[in-house]
Amino acid sequence: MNCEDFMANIDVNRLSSELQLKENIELKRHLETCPKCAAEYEEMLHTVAVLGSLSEHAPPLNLAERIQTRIAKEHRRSGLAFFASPFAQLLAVFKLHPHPVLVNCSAMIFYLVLTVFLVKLTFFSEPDSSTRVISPTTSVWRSAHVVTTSWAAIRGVPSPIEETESAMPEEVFLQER
Amino acid sequence: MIPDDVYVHKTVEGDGSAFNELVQRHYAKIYGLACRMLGNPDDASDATQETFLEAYKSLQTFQFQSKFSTWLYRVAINTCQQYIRKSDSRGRTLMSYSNSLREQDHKYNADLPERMVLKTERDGLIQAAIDQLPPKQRAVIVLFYAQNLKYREIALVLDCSEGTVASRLNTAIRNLKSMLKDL
Repeated sequence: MNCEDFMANIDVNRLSSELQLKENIELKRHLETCPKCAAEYEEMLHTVAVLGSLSEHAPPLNLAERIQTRIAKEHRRSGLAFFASPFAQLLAVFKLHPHPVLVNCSAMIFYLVLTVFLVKLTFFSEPDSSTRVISPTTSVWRSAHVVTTSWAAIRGVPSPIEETESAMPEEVFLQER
Repeated sequence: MIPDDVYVHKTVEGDGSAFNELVQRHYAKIYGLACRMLGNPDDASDATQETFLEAYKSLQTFQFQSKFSTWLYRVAINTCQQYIRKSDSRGRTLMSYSNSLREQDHKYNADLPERMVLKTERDGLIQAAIDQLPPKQRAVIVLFYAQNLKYREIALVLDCSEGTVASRLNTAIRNLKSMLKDL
């Protein structure tokens, strides 16, 4: 076994307990005959002993609370109402993480404004005068009244069922006031 | 003691408070890992928070094929490596333990016995040496010596073979020995 093989085959974990040397006679023999590898082996043993003395760092006192607060925020955010989800996703794209209540309120205000706008557009907008359609309610029916006489009593007048609507004399049925 | 998996199931089912128990059980270990990986207590605190947040978000991907702690270590290692990459891309090396943390320790150690101060300084020098290692070697050193994980567990955390773990550990030891020979 040469030095390269020795370094490639030595296992640092078992090296620390020297188990490997007891098991592997070739490694042990090389170590006894090669002062360079023996010196390196000693240094590695020392390094392992130094690393074994690493102490644990105590976490900051409020770290657990801070983590739990962030998790609680994330939990609330994930439980946002359906209508607020697009807002939350949009804000997440820009890496903004406002309070979930703020997201909900913004979403509600946005949808309220949108609803008012659509209602106004649909029911309360003034139509263009050039394209105004005169509805029967305001034009014909308001200024006319229905003749209550039966069709049979009006002689010489064809029934609207038999005749087409265009041929029907409108003034017969609807008398202008 | 109730196993971690029970709390994982509860969290996945929507019990927000169940995850708090998992935080209580593991945050100290994860902080210790982050501290050794990043060498800076402020970054370690942030990385610990990010780790748990990421774990919470992706808990549904946990398949129960390994221990929850192993999976959490993997999330933590990935988070720390992201921090290291970010730090490198900013063109500055991570503020080492021997700077920020040791300064903090000096203030804290003012009232401590001399032996404790020496131990902290020695620890700082070891950390400074660990900070010089590439992230993959740093990870195996921290998991093996600071977290006392076995080869098999490290292999699971790093998603590699036990042979790779042994090889990285050996290389890391050889890289560290010149820096730690005077300790």
